[in-house]
Amino acid sequence: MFSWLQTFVAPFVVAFGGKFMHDTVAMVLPPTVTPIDISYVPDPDVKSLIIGVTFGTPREYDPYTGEVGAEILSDDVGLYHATFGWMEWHWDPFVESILKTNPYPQLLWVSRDKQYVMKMVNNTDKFIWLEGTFWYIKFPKTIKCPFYGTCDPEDLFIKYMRGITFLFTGIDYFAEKMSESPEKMKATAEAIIKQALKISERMR
Amino acid sequence: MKVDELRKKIKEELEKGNVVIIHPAASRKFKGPKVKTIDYPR
Repeated sequence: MFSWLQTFVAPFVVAFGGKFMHDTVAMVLPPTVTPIDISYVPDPDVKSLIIGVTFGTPREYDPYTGEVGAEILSDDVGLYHATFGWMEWHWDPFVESILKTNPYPQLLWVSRDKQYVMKMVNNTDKFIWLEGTFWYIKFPKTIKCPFYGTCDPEDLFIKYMRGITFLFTGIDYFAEKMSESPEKMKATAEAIIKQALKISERMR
Repeated sequence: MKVDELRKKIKEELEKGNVVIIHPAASRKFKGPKVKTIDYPR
């Protein structure tokens, strides 16, 4: 789906038993002056890492015949959406730059108590048919994990991503210091490796 | 649910100003005061 997912997220998914899923839904929106609230609610026993959304093409809908008609591209129609702690409220009008960026990348955790919330807007006089897909990885609410015993997959994911960042920034820091004082840094590196080997030995 | 029934149900809910969501587990996965779900197909 996205190369950055394969590089950094895929190892986490495989190591901690995430299951790939998607929900593809059809929606019919009436004209409305007040935005309509919708919550996308995961099952109570899971936490889901949403990795993307795919928007279909919004089309006019005739409720009398059930027929789906012409494509609607308009900034009078769209949605606000947010997820607590991961995505701030923002406006997605149904215009080409949003609808045709498929899949629309996301990286956010949702659960029964932290839902994916939307406010649908349809400031036209037409009924609108829309379909879309939520792509996600499903995890149990608690997982077995190294060092911490059991943990919340979302918390562990933050630790994992922080670890990647620390590792790479640490390498940069180390390289800088190495050029300033090679002998001292060589001794430090040897001490770190020795310590890492001891830990690795203890974990076997 | 037959297609005619589905169409009728969508029309009724749209006339009330509700948004209609259609998915096999729509009633479990989508909530909201103006949201009407249709669990289809099943």
